[in-house]
Amino acid sequence: MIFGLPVLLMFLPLLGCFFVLSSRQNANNAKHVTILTLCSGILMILRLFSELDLSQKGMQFVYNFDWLTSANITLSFGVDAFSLLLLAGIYISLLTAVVSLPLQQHENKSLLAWNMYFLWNVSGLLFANDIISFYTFFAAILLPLFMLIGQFGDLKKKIGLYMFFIFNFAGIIVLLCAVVLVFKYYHGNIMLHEIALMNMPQKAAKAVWGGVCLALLARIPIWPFHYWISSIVSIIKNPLVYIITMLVPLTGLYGFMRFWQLTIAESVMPYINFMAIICLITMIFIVLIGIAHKEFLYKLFAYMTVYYLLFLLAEILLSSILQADTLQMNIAYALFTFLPVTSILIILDLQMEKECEDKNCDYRGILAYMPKRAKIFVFYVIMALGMPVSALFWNNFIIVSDLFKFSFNIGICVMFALSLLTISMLYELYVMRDLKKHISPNENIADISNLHLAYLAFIGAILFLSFFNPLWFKF
Amino acid sequence: MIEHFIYMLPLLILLFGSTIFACKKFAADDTPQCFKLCRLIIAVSFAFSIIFYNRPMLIGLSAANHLTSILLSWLFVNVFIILYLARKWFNSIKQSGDYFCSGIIFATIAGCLLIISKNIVLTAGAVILLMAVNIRMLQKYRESMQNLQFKNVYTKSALWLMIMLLAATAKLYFQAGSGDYEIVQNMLHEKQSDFITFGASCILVLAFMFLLAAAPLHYWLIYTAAKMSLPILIYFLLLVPTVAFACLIRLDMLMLSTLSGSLQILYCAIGFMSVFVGAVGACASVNIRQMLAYTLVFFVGIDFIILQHFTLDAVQTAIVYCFFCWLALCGICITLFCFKNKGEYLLQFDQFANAAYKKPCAALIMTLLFFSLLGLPPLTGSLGLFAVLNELAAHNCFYSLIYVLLMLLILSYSYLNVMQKMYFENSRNNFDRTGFDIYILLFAIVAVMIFVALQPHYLIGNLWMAEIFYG
Repeated sequence: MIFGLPVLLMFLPLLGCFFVLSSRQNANNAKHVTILTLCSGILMILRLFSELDLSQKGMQFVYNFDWLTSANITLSFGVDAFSLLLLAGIYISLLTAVVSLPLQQHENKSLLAWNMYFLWNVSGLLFANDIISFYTFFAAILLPLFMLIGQFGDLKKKIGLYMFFIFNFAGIIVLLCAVVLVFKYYHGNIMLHEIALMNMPQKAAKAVWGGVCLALLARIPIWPFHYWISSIVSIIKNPLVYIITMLVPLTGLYGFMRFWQLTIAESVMPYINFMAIICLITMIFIVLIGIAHKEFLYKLFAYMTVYYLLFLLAEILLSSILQADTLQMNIAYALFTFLPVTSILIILDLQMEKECEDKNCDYRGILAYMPKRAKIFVFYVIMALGMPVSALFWNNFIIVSDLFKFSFNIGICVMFALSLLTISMLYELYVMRDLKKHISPNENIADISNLHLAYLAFIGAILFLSFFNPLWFKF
Repeated sequence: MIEHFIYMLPLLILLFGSTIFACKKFAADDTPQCFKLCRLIIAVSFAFSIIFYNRPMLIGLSAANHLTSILLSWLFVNVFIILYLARKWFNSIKQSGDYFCSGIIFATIAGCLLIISKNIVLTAGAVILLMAVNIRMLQKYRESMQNLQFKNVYTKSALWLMIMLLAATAKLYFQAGSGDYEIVQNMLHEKQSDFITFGASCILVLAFMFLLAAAPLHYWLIYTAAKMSLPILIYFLLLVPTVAFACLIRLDMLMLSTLSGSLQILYCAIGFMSVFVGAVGACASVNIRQMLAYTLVFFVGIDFIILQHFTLDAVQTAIVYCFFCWLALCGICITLFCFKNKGEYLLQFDQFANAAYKKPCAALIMTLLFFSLLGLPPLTGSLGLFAVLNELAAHNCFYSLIYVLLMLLILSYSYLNVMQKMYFENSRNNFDRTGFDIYILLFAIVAVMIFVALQPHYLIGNLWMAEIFYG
């Protein structure tokens, strides 16, 4: 029975999407279906964790589907602790966003249907074990993303949306070229971790790895590929769409982890240092831009980008000196906490912005009027920045110390970026809490509901438990 | 002797049908009966062509194998779809459809002959018949084209091509002493260096280029498509390219493959030019019918780029790709029937504003079909694109591969324009009610696409072409 569960888990969001589409034009129906789907998914993930053998390397519960036998294409899907942790993080993030979604929105049905479709594609990507299925789901993410940003992103100028699509489509095309080349030399489908070990002519290997790296980097806001995401996220005001957009870099990062599971391809080796330098420069620049911006949301964007880049840096630099499994699990533990924490912060901040807009009051000092929200907001900000008893702190500490071990200079640069980021976010938090900064006091500002507070506290407790044992939920 | 007559039944029934339509005039009120009769004739003809699928309709002049059966089935499916959709259009404007039905029957006859033919004289005759039908269709059903400078552009070009085609066919026929593809192929093999013979073969290809609207002979479709009535547009987007393509691949493999070295440059040039014109033209379009015409030019270009290799693999890939494009184009054409405002079918992109809220289902399917045409996974079109790229990579045509993908990127801009209007632009546009039958047709197309995506081995994979080509 357990062997059918990963496939069911993979297709569960698609099933949810159909149910959302077929639900009545009642604002609540679609939302309830989505919550039910997400909760079922989380339960399935827990069940899969209970059956997972952590001592075993590679994918487990592998399911092969003979798609095109004559062309030697067998699609392979499976899970490991790494992909399941990421999926759990994504499910919790999306569940948090959906729970906090305003009920009265009449577009909820379309929004939630695309959200479910997006989740299906992300699940497929995390379950993909071979290059064809990886490419399929990597590319498929573009459609729901385009629709969500276009319909609910409040973009005033269409050019931003067009650029976003064309830029991402170009990335997909580059990856397709790489896939076609791999197919030409391997004469069939190949498992992701085997590609780095594959024998190819030198030129072809360079083209393949150049294509793969470019396509994956196109999803991560690294210079010069940062344009699409920075231009989009500064405008999006819908929390669910914002969170989904911020999940996109994760797909690129995940791709690197999967392609270089066993080893980094030789043809990429000479360029690793170059990539690392660009990563570091982008980190520092994005932090400086974050400081220059006054909105907390942009600082949060800078924070997320810096952490994604930190994980990427760790993957490209440390995979040659550390055991790939250990490194990946560290990153996975960090991401499992990172995703829900950042999602909650995005939701809380966007809710506050909306409240300010509705009540026509100033953003600064607003937390002074919302005691419950202030507590939970401060808790999550400090947790994000590395509160010593949070899982995020522990895993990030290991990753940064490994970077120091690899190169002191790189470690210093990373610490510099993280420190600036911390100062910038804490200062903004201070501004938001400072009553004196509030220009137009309005005492009718609504605080967070008790139910919502309880939910967020519950998520906080889950993340707190992860500090003592990252896989505490595995029985 | 009697069996020869029996094998000809599919053609004879179509001829009988055309005679009925020539003799009997249907009033505007009789449109449903007119279309019913036409469908019946086509259905009977289709049934006979299936029953005698392995028997040549015209002994000595035609072939009958698995490939011709598949192509004939494809042709008849096209005809059924066109007739079904056209009936709705004629009903809505209260106009008699007898002229259109007779045109479709004649086009079906020409299509059948093109698909089964193994004789250049028969092929040339069928091409001329098809061009004549096209001329009549355009003359009769063009919408407010009086002011257009190019109002007779198709007629003039088609007449010139007919004359050239007759001359070329005569040259090849008299030089080979027979019109049979095999004999002509042997003659071409012996006289490869003869410039006039090569020129005659090129004219044959030019005639098909014209029917397929490949650049630079695409102009007629582009100028007329913008103002074309919907049934005629579907006829030119679905039926004509299908039969022309079907005949071209048979001609390529059975006769012109001898000249592959020389024709490769021509095919390559046509392909590159069509892809460029299709992508750039579509981006500049603000009229959905014109954009679809450019899309056709683009995909025809890709087919030519693949066909330049003159191998069975290439032909198989071209068929697969053509099928996926046809499926998506067919779906888009059907969705066009869902968008009607105050009795008028929509033309300009602006008119599609608010479509996603008023017609969510049709808008969603149209969006998916556009993305499928772009080859975005997991939609079915990605299979076709993957097959094309694989074929190009197999022949080490990496520059062609990059060129095709770049042009696809440009083409995507035009589709974004439509989607942007449908989804992201608010307007007070209202749309007329759409019949449930159109949605059933759309869901059938979607079901076929899902089936093909899950079970692609019916189309891609083993070199099935070798089995069915000469089978």
